[in-house]
Amino acid sequence: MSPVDDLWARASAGDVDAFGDWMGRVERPIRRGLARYASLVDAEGIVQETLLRMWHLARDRNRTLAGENASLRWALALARNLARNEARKAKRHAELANLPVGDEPVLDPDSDPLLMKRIRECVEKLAGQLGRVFDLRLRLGPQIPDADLAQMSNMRRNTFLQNVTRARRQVVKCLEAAGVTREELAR
Amino acid sequence: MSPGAADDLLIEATLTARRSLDAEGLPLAPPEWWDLSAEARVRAFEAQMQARRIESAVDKRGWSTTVRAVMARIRGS
Repeated sequence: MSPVDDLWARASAGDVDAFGDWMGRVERPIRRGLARYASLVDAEGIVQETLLRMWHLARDRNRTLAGENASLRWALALARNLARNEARKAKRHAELANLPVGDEPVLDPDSDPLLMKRIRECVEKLAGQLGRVFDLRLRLGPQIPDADLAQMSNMRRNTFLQNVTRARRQVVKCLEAAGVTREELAR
Repeated sequence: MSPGAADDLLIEATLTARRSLDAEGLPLAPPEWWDLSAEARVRAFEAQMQARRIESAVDKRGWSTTVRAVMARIRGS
């Protein structure tokens, strides 16, 4: 049984945190699988909807998934179908027909601990205003609109977004100085 | 503001994991996403991959803001 299967089994038994960890393992392969749809659909929305539907599947006592990493394979297919349907809704048929057929995405190896450590060190180096806005976006961003985060920072929304962009660039620059490439980060 | 800087701002606005939901409960693309060219949408996608990696690294449990957004929906339902 793979670590993904183990987390899926625990999630199916009702362990919500295990489902969170399962999402943490499969989010990147799912997102990467949407690369060819990047110009046609909002990948973030597709990833979130896929993960939410997988939770409902995990809790469905009448459905079981068989085979190694079956939950990931199911999620990859589901995400692709959602992306295609979304593109069709937006009437992007012509672009859809021209999409190349991609190889099946594979699971990430475990996160590189050294890369993760370097990222943490570079984020910790963010100081003052940049550090504050970046931290706010990370902690509260999933629930609170940027306009409200900006207000909490006594900034206009555009200024807030400019500062988050600057902070992000500073982190990437710090990582590059530590030998981490942009490709490695986005992989 | 230069066209590049304007694109950067639009892209940053799409990087948040917060999504409004439509009447059927499906996540909606942020308004800024619709203002991006096809090339800029691909850049936004790559920036999203990078952003989620950074978020996972700084979260104690290794969860990105995407995972936390979905967890909030699960726990709130």
